[in-house]
This record gives sequence, C-alpha cells and structure tokens, in this order.
Amino acid sequence: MSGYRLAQGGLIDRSRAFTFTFDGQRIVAHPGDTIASALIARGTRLVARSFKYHRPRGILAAGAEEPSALVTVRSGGRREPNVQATMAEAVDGLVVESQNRWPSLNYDVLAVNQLAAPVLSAGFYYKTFMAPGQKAWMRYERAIRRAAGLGIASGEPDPDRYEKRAAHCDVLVVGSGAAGLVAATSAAAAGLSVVVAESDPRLGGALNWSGATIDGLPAAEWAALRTGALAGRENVVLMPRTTVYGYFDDQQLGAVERVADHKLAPEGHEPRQRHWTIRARHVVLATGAFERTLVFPGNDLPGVMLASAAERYALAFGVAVGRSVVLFTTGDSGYRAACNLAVAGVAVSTIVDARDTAPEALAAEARAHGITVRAGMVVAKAMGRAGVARVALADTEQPGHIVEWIPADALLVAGGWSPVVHLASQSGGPPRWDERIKAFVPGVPRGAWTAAGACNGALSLAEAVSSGSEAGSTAVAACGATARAMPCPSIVHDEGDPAATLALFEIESGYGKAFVDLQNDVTADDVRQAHVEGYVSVEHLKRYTTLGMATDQGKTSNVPALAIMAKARGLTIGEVGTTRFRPPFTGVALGALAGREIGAHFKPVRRTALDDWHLANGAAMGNYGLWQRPRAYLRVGEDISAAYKREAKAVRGGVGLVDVSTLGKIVVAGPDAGTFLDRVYANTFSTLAVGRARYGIMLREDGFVFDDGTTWRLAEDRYLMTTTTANAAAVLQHLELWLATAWPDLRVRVASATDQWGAMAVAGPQARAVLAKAASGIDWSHAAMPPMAIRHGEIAGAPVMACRLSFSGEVAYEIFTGSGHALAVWEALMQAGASAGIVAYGVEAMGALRIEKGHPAGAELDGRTTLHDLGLDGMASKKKQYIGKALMSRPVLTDPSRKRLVGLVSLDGTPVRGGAHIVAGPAMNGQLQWQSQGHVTSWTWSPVREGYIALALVERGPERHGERLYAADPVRGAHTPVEITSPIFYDPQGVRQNA
Amino acid sequence: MLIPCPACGPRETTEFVYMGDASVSRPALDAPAEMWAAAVYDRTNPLGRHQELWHHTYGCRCILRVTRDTGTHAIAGVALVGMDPEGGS
Amino acid sequence: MPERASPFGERLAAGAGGGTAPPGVTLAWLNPAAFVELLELPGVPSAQLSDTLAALAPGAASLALGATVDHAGYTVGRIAPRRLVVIGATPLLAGLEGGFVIVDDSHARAGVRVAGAAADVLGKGLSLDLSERGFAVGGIAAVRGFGLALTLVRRAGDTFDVYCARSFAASLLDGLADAALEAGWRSGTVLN
Repeated sequence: MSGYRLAQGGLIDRSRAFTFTFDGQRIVAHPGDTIASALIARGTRLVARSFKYHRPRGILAAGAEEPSALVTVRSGGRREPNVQATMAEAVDGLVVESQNRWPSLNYDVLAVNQLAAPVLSAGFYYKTFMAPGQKAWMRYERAIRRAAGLGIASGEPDPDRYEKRAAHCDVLVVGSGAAGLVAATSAAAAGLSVVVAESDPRLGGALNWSGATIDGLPAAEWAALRTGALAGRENVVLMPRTTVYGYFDDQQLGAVERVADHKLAPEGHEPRQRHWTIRARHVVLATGAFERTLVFPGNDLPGVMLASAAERYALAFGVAVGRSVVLFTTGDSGYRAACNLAVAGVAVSTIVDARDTAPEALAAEARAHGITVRAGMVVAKAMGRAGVARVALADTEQPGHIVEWIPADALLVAGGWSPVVHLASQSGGPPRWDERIKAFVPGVPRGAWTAAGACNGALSLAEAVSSGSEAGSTAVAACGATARAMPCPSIVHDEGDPAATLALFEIESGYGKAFVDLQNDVTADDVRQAHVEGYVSVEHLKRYTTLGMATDQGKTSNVPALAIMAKARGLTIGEVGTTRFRPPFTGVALGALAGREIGAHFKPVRRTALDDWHLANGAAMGNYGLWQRPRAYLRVGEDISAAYKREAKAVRGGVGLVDVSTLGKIVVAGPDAGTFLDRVYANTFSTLAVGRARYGIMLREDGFVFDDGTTWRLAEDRYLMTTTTANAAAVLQHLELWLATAWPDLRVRVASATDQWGAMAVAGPQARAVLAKAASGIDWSHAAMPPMAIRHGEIAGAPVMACRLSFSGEVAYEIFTGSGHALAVWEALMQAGASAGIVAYGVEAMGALRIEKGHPAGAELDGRTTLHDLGLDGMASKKKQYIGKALMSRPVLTDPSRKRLVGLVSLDGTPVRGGAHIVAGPAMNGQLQWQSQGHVTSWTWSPVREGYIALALVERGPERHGERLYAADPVRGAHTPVEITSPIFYDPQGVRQNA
Repeated sequence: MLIPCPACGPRETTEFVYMGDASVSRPALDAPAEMWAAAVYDRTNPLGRHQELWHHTYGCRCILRVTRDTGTHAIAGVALVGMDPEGGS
Repeated sequence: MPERASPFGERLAAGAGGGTAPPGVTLAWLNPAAFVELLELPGVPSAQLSDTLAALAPGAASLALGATVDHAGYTVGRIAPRRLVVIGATPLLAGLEGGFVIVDDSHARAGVRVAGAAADVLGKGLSLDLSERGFAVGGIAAVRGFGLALTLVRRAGDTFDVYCARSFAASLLDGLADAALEAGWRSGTVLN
C-alpha cells in the first residue's frame, strides 16, 4: 500500500463512485478516473510483469508514454489486450486483467528468467536460434513466445462495429494544451474550419494539472472556458478521445476516435471506434512533450514514476502516489512538480537535484513546504521487494559511492523533456537535437505543418502560449486568411526554466540492472553490448536490442538509449541522431483500420437484373469476379453436378434460357468507329454490314490474346462491343488508353453499356419456336434471320434487340433488353417455352456446351496464349495493322513446340479436372518424375459423349490427335488416362447451329 | 497519396489505375517488331522524377500524365492526355 | 411497356428502414425517366456543340466542370471533360447527334436520394469534401464511394442524389443503410 485518494482536488466526479475488477479484486473509481489512477488510489503498485524477465512493474506515466502498465480489458469477444492502464478510462463493471504472468501477478513462475538474465541480453534470440543451420528456433518458438510476450487476443469475433469517416478542414490542431487551444482559437477567429483532436476525454492537456493561474483563473478552468468558446463556434469541431496516429502523404492524417471504449459496450448503433482520415490544409502539431525517466539501478521498480505523472495524478485525479515521496530531478521542472504535489497534500520528503546548485526561488518555495533539497546528488539505486522502499543517494560526481539511504514508497523522476515529435517526423526530415533543451525537436517539415508549444521545444507555459499564438497566425496565413489580433493571456506560474536541465541520462553507479526500455526489458548494458558487437547505426541498435519496439516505440526510452550509444561512440547525441518514427503513434486496433469492410461488406457484389428470379428458382450461386451468377438451378434431390448435366442435355434436346447479362458491353460510336475497331481487333469490323454481328478477337500490344466477343454494328457510326465477363473493365480502359494516347483525333467515343442491357440467350432446337410465340415484330426463320443477323422487336411489351449467334452449337439467339425490363422478358420466355420444356440453365451447363464446341473462354484466354496457340490464326487480318500484330509473330510466339489447344477425352470415365498436368507416365508417383507436357484448362461432363471431356494446352497439341497420355492431378489424387482429340467434340461443321 | 486530377480535383489513389510509363512513346502500328519490343519491354525504373499514365477510373475516366517522384511520391504536375479539359464547347 | 423494375427490389420498399429512431435520414429510390450521357466528338466545331447544348438547356453550353443546370424537368451536368449527363424527364436529343455520342443509361443506373444527415452518412463511404464550400449545391461529381463508382449530385445542403451502376444497387444500398444506422433511416417516396 502506498498510493491513496486525497481528500480533495482533481477533476473527477467525487459525488459518484463505482467499481471495476483488477485480477478479480474490486477497485473503486470515480467518473473521470483512468484504470491507472484508480489502481494507484487503491494502493496498488504491482500491475504488470515485464516482457522478457517477468520483473514486477508498476505505473511509470499518466498518459500515452506508459511503457509498463499494459492490461487486458473486457472479456469474451470484446477482450482487448495491451491497453495502457493510463489511457483507459475506468468503467463501472469493467473486467481488467494483468498480462504476461503465470499463475498470478504476485507469484509469477517465469520470474526465474531474471536468473538467466546474463544470457538473455541483447541479440540473445538471434545468436541462439537464428544462426545458420540452427533448428532450435523451430523447436522452441512456442515456448519462447509464451514466456516473452504481451497480452492474448480473444480469438473470438469482435461483436462491435468499427467505422471509417473522412473529414476535411482548413486547420487541424493536434493536441489541446495551452499551445493547441491558443492556435485553434486564432484559426477559428479568422473564420477557418478547425478540427481539434485530443487523446484525452477532456481538452486542456497539461493545463489540467499545471497549478498555474491564467487570466486570474486556475489553468484547468481557463482551459474549460477556452474549450467552451471553441465548442460554441460553427466552424470548429472538437474531437476528444481521438488520437492522431499517423501523418501521411498529401496532408492526410489518420486518427482513431474511441467512441465507446469508455463504456462496457457501445450504445445504440454507435461504433466502438471510428477511424478518421482527416485532410487538412495546415496542421498545428501541439502534441506536447513526454517527461524522461533516468537510467539507474532499480529504475524499473513499481513506485518509480515520472514526476509529471505524479503531479497529474494529484491535480487531475486527486490521487497521491505515495506517503513518503522522493523526487529526483536534473532540472528546474522537478521543483514545480514537488511544490504542486505538496500543495495538493502529497508528502514529498526530498528533492534530489543532480545539479550542483539548486534554483534559488524554487528551492525556497520547496523548503517552505517542508521539503529537503539535496543538490549535487543523484539516486544511485532504488531498492525494495515488490516496489520502492528506500533510495540510495550519492554525489553526482561519484555515483558509485553511496552516502545515504532514505526511505521512500514513491520515487519520482524528472529527467528532462522529450517533445512528442512523432507526427512531425512522419511528415518531415529527421528530428534535430536542440542543445538548449537537451532534446530532439521537429525537423524540417515536408508537409504543411507548424509545431507549437512543448512539441516545438517551448517548454514553459508562457513560451507555449506565445508559440501557439504564432502557430495559429502561421496556419491562418497558410490558408490565405487574415489573423485577428488576440489578447495575450496573463500567466502567473513560477516554474523556473524548464529547459534548464543537466545533460545527464544515466547514473552509472554499477549497482545492478538499469533499464532504458521498460517495455522491452532493454538495459543500459544491452545498449553498450550492442555497440561492442559493432552496431553503430541507431536503426540497427533498435532491431538488435528490440529497443523502442512494440507498442511503446521508444516514447520514454529513445533519448536515454541514444545518449548511452553516443557516449560509447564518443559522439554527441545530435551526431548519433534518432530513429525514424513511423505510424502508428499509439497502437491502432485492426478493427478500426478495417472499418465496415468485413464480412458481407468486404467488397461490392454485382447482381444481374434477374438475380431475384435465380434465387427464387433454386439457383446455386457462384462468384465470378464481383458478379453473382447461377451455377445451376437445383431441383429436389439434385446437386450441382446432376443439375448441370440435366440442363445441358435439355438444351441439346429442346431449349434452354441462360442469363448472360454479365457480358461486358461497350458502346463504340462516332464516324471513325469502324476504323478504330479495325485497329483494336485482329480481324476486320469496318466492312461489317449494319444489322450484323461478328466474332472478334483482340490482342495486347505484346501480341498475346487479350479478349474476345461479338461486336454488333447497330448503325453506320455505332457498334455495340461485347467482351468476356472477366475483362469488361480492362477492355474499356484499354480502349480509352489507346484513344487518349495514340489516336486523340479519331472521331469516336466509348462508354460502358454493361448495366444498360439485361441479356439472355435462348438456345436449342426449339429456340425458334419459343421466340416466335413470345416475341412480336421479328421473323425468326432461317431465311429472314440468318446467323449473325440483328433484329428489333418486342417481348412482353418491352423493346428487345436480338442477335442470332451461338456458343452452344445449337440454334441460338441473344436477346438484349433494358435491364429494368429483363425480368418481364425472361418470364415471358419461360412461359412461352413451358410447353417445349424450356429450362433455365446456369454457368456450368453453359460451360459444358461451349467446351463441347471447343470455344475458348476465360481459362484459355489467360494472358499467356496466342492466336496460334488457340488455333485462331486464321482470324488475323493480313491486310491491316492492329494492336499486337508487330509482336504477335515473334519467333517465341510462333514456335511449333508451344502448348496449343486440344481436346481431351477421359478414357476411364473419371473426370479430368482443370489444372491437371499432361504427362506420359502411367502411374501416379509421389515424386511426380514425369515432365509436364501441358495442362487442362476447362473440363466438363459431356452430354453428347456421355463422359468427361476437357480442353487443354499441350505441347505440339494439334499434331498429336489420337495420342494417349495421362492427366496427373496429384493434389486431388487422380491420374487419368486421356486421349488427345480435336477441341471440337460436337458438330464440327456447325450444321445444327446454322439450321 | 492524392493525385490532383485536372478535371476532378485531388482524389485518393484508390480512384486511379496505373497505366504504365508515360515516357514511352508507342510506335505506329506498322512499326517493326524491334521498335515495338523496345516500347513494350524497355523501362528505366528511375528513382526520382517519373512520367506516369494514370486512368481516373472512378472519376472522369480520363488518362492523366502524372509527373511523380518515385522516392517521395511528390507530384510535380498532372495533365490530361488527348483531351482539352474545357472540351470543345 | 412494362414498368421498370426497381434495382433495389424489396430492400427500399415502403416501410423499410433501420437503426436509431426517430430516423435522421431518408433513403428514396430515384427512378428518373432518362439518364443519358453526352460524349463530345473530337473535331466538332465548338460553336456547333454550344448551339445544340443551348437548345437542350439554357446555360448548358457554358457549364463549368462539376456544375449542373436544371431545365424542363431534367438536370444537365458537366461531369467530366467532354462528357455531360442528362438526368430526369426524357430530353429531346435529336439535334445533338452530330456533335455528340449519345449513350442511353436509363436502365444502367441505380439511384438513391439521401436526405437528412446526408453528409454524415456519405462521409462514411466517400473521401470527398462534402462541406458546401467543398461541394456546392448543384454540384455534380464522379467519385468513388462505398467501393463503387458513383455519380453524386448535391440537390440541397442536406440532400444528395447518388447513382451507381445498376448491378451494384444492393451494395450501394447496403453501404448507405449501414452508414445511416447511427442516425437511423427510413425509405422515402419513389422519385420518378
């Protein structure tokens, strides 16, 4: 027991109290408490076990820089590990658990790791497990991961919503301390749109625990007044509980708003968290500064805390961190903290100042509070079993010579300040070492931002206010507005010179482990060892020692580590430099990054106008790109295989109807449309008669086949191109690219018409009879409507455009109608065909019919095949120039040994599946010693053959009809004897479709 | 990253599709295969300023010539290709 | 001629809705008689293009990119360089044929009017600046939203018309309705 709730003070609501549990223990809290402040008020010091050595750890900080006090909150699907106890608000009924300990926090078996500490030093994992030829890592990884680690994820689906939103503003102010509030006020007064993002639930930053008086008011009240004034303005958006975690290219910043993290569960339809992408013309970075800890033996004991954190716990939460407090400082700011603590009622016994001379006025103020000031002294070691109990003092010049022990249950450390330069570093040059304040300050901006306040090295309140005012004016000018003169707040605050700090980072007393990075258990000796082993770059130092990794990212450890490295290398800290800070500044839940793009919302889905009919009629739907299409319509007792075989047979024997709305459709129109198509297609379209269609094939510029389809000439200057479903978007882009870059003068325009038309094909010997019954205005007879003729008429009162073309090998017509009429037309055709036994058929049966006819489709047009490979060389025009012609006849693309299209017939009645390889060997062999001679592209059960057939690309295929080989499919355990045949299995002369 | 489309204003890159190196000029369709092979396959892959073609697929559907620094993503200029932004009217 | 079927089916029928009550958002099916694209042909004298556009709607010829003009029951908007759209009552297009390629998209689009807390709803799916300074009333834009290519028209400060390709109708409505849960939404009267 050490901390306790003060009788008065703080910004908490003392009129209400509730409880949460920590490892099952009930903890009383007030609204406004964090988990950390409530735990300290309860007297709890031990809250975590360290990452590697399982050392007892407490609470070091009060904000986002906390390295040690990571806990798991909530349970079930809402369980969230690695939450900083200092950032999480206390919630009535919340379940909080400590991490990385077994069986309990107090008796952690793996604390024996400390005994092995000499071998667990820097680079241990690399040296032990990663050396060449070592398999140890594989063997021990699980145990190591269990022993060293953070919290454990729930493993259950998260029941809550996470959303994304975009925001735009003139000025984004990150941080709402003195500098941020002044800058925001200035920008708002100039009429600019302003967003103020603040991580804490309450705006004001350090004003809420500074003890200063501004304009005659306590600083916290002044902050509330300023916040209220901003909130009342229409051009200002205040965003509490919002952490800006990333500053990305082009003035875009990522932020996470914790909408409902301060509740057990979100209310109504609110999300748990909302991810904001904020685009700002100018950004004011008023992110403040983190106080630094000092490196000395025992500096990781529970009870060792940053002085500013203790100040915040007392002034903002009404919590005393101990009953016997010693404060160790290297500069003036420790005195202000000690005096503020004393005023708040916290018993501070001693200030230990490493400097020879104490600042006169502040020291006198401290003494008046009964505090002993020991100048020229350092803390050589902190001791205690589960927390600080006593503190050893030594002369600054002789840190190894302990002169006195003094009792303490809390040791506060004020080791100088590190501006929070993370966002500045993400959008700027490397941070610059400022010798005046002994810290890194923001480097040269790459984006449009201005650093203000402590973030920019303006550490005193007065400096912060004037820096905020300047930043506000800069932002206003950057947005082209005029700044209005603002009254300067009058400040009463004796804080000496917060920049007056000794360049002392480590007390080398030699009394045991001194930690640099508390989260990753990196000691000062680890840093020196890395140097001895040759790691001179700070980036390498980070990776080798794990310093500044994980969620902490070196917020408290960065500068001390660099100081030790600099000393070892005989350089200044500025010369050593710092690592680059990368997003995120604090941990971001993956859920917030995913937003609503999960499950059914993961990607858009395309449905044809007939989708509802398909679903109502037993369709088993499949995904084809973004499209949903019926694979087959299942009748009672049927699976897909049985259904598509029935459907394909019905088309060959009678008539079927299939939805082909997914075909890409592109309007190509203008006086030069024919010329353009002649250049795009390998065959000729300018000679096509109006009212006729032609099958076309287009190449990429590298000579490979790109896409195929029929293109219909609807008028002298207007064509309707169709593409494969898969390539619709790519073909349109291809056309737009060539028109813009090569032929901008061609009088032709292109546009997608895919969604305008509902399209369906009526196929089978009975097709003509069904259409004659259903449609008006068209003579469907062979003489009146020969193959590839286009006619206009009406079905079910809706205008239709019909073209006689067949991919099934039967007499067939494609019917196009406005998408909004597609269902009426489809139903009229089904009704008209009922007496002829019409069936709706799906993609599987359509595939069976086209494979029997040897028509190449997506699986054959895979971007690696040529016209020659597909046996379509005859289509290529020799009279004109077209895209791909130049490279089509490269030797490598006309090599006779290339894999070319053939048919395959299964000889043993089993299927030959897509992806199987064609080999000569008769037996399946685990080693698959046979050389692949090709592969299966498409396969089906053939109604006309009553067996399994396939299309394949086989070396010298067309020369090998009749040859017997094997389709090796080791993954699915098949090895099927096959015979190579012509790819056209059915009616090679086309007698049936031309009847 | 944002691309400042001359027609639509600054838009996120998710609206665009990269269409290749804009510094490559396509030969005439009847040019010899050697010229075509160079146009299709030879690329300099520079670090620094690069001319790129982007298609504003989700916006105006124009082809843009973007001058972008491949090291910093900074865009020095964007122009519509084959299209006068004001149109004929 | 049969009625044009709704691309949203029952999903936007009378009484449909979701989320917090009372609803802050209305989602209504936009079913304009015409949605037509006009693509200027290269090489046509600009005077000819201007004259024919002026006949379509006064002011149409001088429309800035991203602006619209309302006339005779339809809206004419310049949505992209050399590309205009006409949305609403069926326009007379006879005179335009020499200078433009006319593409009838009247069956190709699915439209929803989002009214109420519309900027909040759309801000969850679009990255466009939806303040009136960023996107004025009467503005039109081709933009990516909810993963889709959208045509967006601002009808009033709190009212936007959103069109996508018809086949994406369910995804558009899914995205809008989901984004509107926090404010609550109800289906509105069909707008022909």
